[in-house]
Amino acid sequence: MNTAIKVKDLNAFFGETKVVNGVNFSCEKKEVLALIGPSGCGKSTLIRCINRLHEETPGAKAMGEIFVNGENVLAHQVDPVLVRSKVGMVFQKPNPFPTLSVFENVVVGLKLSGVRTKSILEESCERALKQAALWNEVKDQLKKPGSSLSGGQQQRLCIARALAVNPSILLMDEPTSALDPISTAKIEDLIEILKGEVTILIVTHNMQQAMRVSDRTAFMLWGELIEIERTAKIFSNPVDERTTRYISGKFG
Amino acid sequence: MLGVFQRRKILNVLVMGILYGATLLALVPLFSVFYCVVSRGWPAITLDFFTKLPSPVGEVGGGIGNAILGTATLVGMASLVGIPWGIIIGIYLSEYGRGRRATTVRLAVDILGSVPSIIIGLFVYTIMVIPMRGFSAYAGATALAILMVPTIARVTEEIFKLVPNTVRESGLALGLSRWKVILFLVLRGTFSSILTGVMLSVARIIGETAPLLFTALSNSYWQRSLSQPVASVPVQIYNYAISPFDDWHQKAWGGAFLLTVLIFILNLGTRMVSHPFSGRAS
Amino acid sequence: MGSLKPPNDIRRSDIIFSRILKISGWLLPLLILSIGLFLFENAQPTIKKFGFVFILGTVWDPIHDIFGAGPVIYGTLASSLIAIIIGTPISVAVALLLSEIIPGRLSRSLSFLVEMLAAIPSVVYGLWGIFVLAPWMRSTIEPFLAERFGAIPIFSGPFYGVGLLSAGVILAIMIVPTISSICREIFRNIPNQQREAALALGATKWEAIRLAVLKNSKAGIFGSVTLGLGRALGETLAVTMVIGNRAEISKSIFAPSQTMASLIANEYAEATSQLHLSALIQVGLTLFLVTFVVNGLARVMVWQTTLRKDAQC
Repeated sequence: MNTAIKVKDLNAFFGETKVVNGVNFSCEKKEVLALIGPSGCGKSTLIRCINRLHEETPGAKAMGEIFVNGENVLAHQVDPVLVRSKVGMVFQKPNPFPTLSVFENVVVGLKLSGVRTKSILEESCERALKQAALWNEVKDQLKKPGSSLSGGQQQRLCIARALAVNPSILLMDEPTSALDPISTAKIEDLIEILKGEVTILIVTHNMQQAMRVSDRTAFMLWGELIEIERTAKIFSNPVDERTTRYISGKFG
Repeated sequence: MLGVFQRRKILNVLVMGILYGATLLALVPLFSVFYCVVSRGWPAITLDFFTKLPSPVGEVGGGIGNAILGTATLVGMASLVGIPWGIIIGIYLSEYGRGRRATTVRLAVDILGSVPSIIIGLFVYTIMVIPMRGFSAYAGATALAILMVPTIARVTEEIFKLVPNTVRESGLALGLSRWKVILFLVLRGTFSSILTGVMLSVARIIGETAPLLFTALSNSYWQRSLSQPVASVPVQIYNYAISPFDDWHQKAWGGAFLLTVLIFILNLGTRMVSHPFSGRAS
Repeated sequence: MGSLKPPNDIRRSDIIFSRILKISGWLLPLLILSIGLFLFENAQPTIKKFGFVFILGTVWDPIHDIFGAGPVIYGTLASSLIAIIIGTPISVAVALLLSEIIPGRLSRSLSFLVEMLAAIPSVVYGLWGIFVLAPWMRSTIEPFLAERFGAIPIFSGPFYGVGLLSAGVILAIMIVPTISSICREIFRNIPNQQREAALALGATKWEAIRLAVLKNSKAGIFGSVTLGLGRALGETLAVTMVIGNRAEISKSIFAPSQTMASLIANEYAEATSQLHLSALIQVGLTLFLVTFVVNGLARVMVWQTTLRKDAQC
């Protein structure tokens, strides 16, 4: 089976307000799918449904089906905690745990799932930091607090933290919008390498970024999925008029 | 053998249970005190309770009328000084409150608010009771006034700070002097909120016992002069509670009932009157 | 075109107004200094006689004019320590429940109830202590502790219901609102991204609270506990009514004891000699200084944590 994620008739609400309206799409294994659209179109809400984070907001709910590796994660009997341990997430603002060291930040997910053996933790830490292209910069500073790193490094730390538990899917919610251009470029390079190992769903309001890193791009407007297509095609020759308007109207 | 995941789930449920349990535990004394105060104190509430003097030692009957009047007198006198002084300081901190001098005053408000009330009583004892050679309502009221000031000052400052600067600016733009702007424009709009501060500080001082022990002391008769010792409900409760007489114990509960009801009403009242500074930002 | 300066009468009234405000404000620091000064002044007889060894003296014997504040300092510290040991976990639990677990309206109602704990006057707690808590301690808790843990010195000896333990329990009840309301503020100020980071890694609710909230609040919780301590040190009536009024150091927590505040409240009426009175005032001065320092420390700690939070954002 080559489908990593399949979203079927997804509707998401904040109280009475519907913010995701009848969304259907699938995401292939090991591809990078970018979600673009104007602010408030529901793209962040959409990915937060995938790891069941959406429902943590009081009054929020999601209805429909989301199949992650064949299993419907929105089903009632499914435990959100288990879902989240298989689906990693990186947030817009880097959020390492400030009181934990770099090392402790990376392995926190592993420790939660019960891994105690020091050698395994150290090994996983090194692997994850290398995957996040951060190892060389911090290998001598593993004991320093997570908050002592620069913004770009902190975000890569968060990526390492998410990768340490070997998720099959990585959700990224505007991961570079709070970073400077150099850090942004580093992370975009990272995504290029990571996609060989993990399926990536990235929300971005930066169309150039979508063009640079993604295989396919989905355009959302007012909670609806308007168009989803190979990246090159959607930006050069979109089918829907609304997509055209959005793409031509934005200036980076 | 339980898997790691199962153990984590169980621990989660356990901890939630502990959190709920601890909260219930914390509220048990509240309900117990309320229950006792009502069940043991209500029977003591009679007309005599409010109107009669304490009966002679060991005799049943009488009331704590003088103590009730005494508390009203002391709170009234304290408010005459404490409320204006507290409001003035609150205005000072809010309107003239930048810079190191104001910070010292702000710090003093905080510090004064955390000095144990018995120390305040002792202090007033040394500056009033000793020179005046006797306990008096004046001394008691002074101690209570000092206790009121920090609460009122804090509330006033916070409320004034919430008034948007446009109000002040439009007043000044009309050519009004600054003090008029403050008193007639800013103060006017904050009345109800300052009222909550007043209610809070009154609720605090009507139950104060320790400072009155060395200032107003106690009195078995109706008040004849303000420079004589004066009875008050909290001190009466204390004296009756530690006595060996059942009738007096019941009156102590009656006094506790009175105080608790008043304090509860005052606190509910502050919730009714809107006070923006304690509303949570959602 | 007249002068652009405000007319003289407006300037003058403004100056008078601001002068009145400034003077009223400055009366406060003056007041606090006076408190210290007058207490010091009136404690001179015993200060001259016992000096600062007053604090170390372990005998408090008004009949023979021997005044050592050791027993009441011990009583104060011990009762406050018991209060903190019992009260802190409960306060943090309440704060966590109300800020992390229970939603809006219910949380507000429950927090109102918790605040009501703080509104009950000390003397009413004392009354309840004498007639409800102490008898219950004597019939239920203390026998249980004595039976199970009697070998440990602090649980040894006879119990009466009134004593150090009961005083500590009542103090614990009284400081829960203080500690929990500050903790709730601290928890509220933790950015939600921290909680989400933990949850996104597959943490259970408790694990997320531990990682995102508790680990980030250590300093603030410590500050709130110190503030609770400051409150406990000065509590008078509730303690006076259940502590047993014996100014003696004992190793058992069941034993009757005396705190600085309860000593003053209890003996002022019998203090006929100048020396006795002076000794009581000196105890008052000591209490004043101790609470001054503790509350000052607490303020700095809580202030520092709020500064750090602002810097992080």
